[in-house]
Amino acid sequence: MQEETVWITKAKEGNQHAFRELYATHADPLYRFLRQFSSDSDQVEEWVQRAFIKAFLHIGSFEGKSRFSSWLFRLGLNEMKMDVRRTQIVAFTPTEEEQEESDHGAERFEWKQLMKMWMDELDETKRGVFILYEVEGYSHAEIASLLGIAESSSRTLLMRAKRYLQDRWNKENLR
Amino acid sequence: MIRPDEFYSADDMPDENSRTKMWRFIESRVPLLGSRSSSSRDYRIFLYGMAASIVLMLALVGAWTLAMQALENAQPEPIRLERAYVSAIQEFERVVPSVAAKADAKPRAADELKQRQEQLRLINAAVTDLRRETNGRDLSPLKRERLRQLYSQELKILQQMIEAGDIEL
Repeated sequence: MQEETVWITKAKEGNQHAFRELYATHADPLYRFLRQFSSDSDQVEEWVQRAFIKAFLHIGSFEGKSRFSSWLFRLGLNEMKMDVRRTQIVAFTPTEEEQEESDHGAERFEWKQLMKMWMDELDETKRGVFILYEVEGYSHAEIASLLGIAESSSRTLLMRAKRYLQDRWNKENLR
Repeated sequence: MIRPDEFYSADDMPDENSRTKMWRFIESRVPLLGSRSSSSRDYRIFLYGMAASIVLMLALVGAWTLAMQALENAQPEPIRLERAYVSAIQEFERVVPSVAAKADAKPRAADELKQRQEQLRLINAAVTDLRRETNGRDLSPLKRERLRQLYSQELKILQQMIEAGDIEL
């Protein structure tokens, strides 16, 4: 974390190596997070690129009050939302191969696939809150700032997302 | 809490090609990364080039001066002496044009100046003839002596003109 602060300071001074380090650290987490909102890898790459470009162009305005990753995630989410508003993104559906694996593969993989399918049925905000809180480990305060919502809304949305997923899980098990 | 490696699958991660592709795109769009790096590199190369050119130029000038000095020192004494005279005369001649301007202001002194200028012209003509004869290499003591006399006369006339205030220094 302290090392990251050093890289950010150096990046603000125009150190190219620092930009490269920030990219190396945050590209994968941002990509995998945004990947949950689209099955089109090219589309996800574009969001990641745009988020990094904005972050690097405006790194001088980053005050360090929040984590760099949460600032970057917010930029990535904004890019994603902008495109979602423009066009309806193709919903996540597992590939045939994945579906097959899901049918015959390990239980964990099945759980993953199901979870992702159900999550796709959630709206973007609920999905975002769920992943950010449950998977990425952000606090409600951070999520609230990241998504531009109230902290209490973040809690409510998470609760609703969990309840929805729980219902789907119960239904699946009753089959 | 779900562990990220449990939640995300390998398919959710970008591969190496994708990472490189994204970085290249970002690099091309952020002036601080792509263009600035190349422009600062160009600027550095330009500075090194300029510094190298200056060093080379100074070295050439130094080498040229040394060569000329060596050549000069290799000349016999009378020729070097003659060159010194010629150089002194040329320096004086450089200031002579101001005489004409001053002569216009004092009509009486103009005649004297004209005379002196005529004398200078004649001496210069004699020097030129003699130098042509000696061709700069004839070391005959008689010709050298004659040449020195002419230079001496010329310098005297110029000295008189300076003392009379005809030549503004």
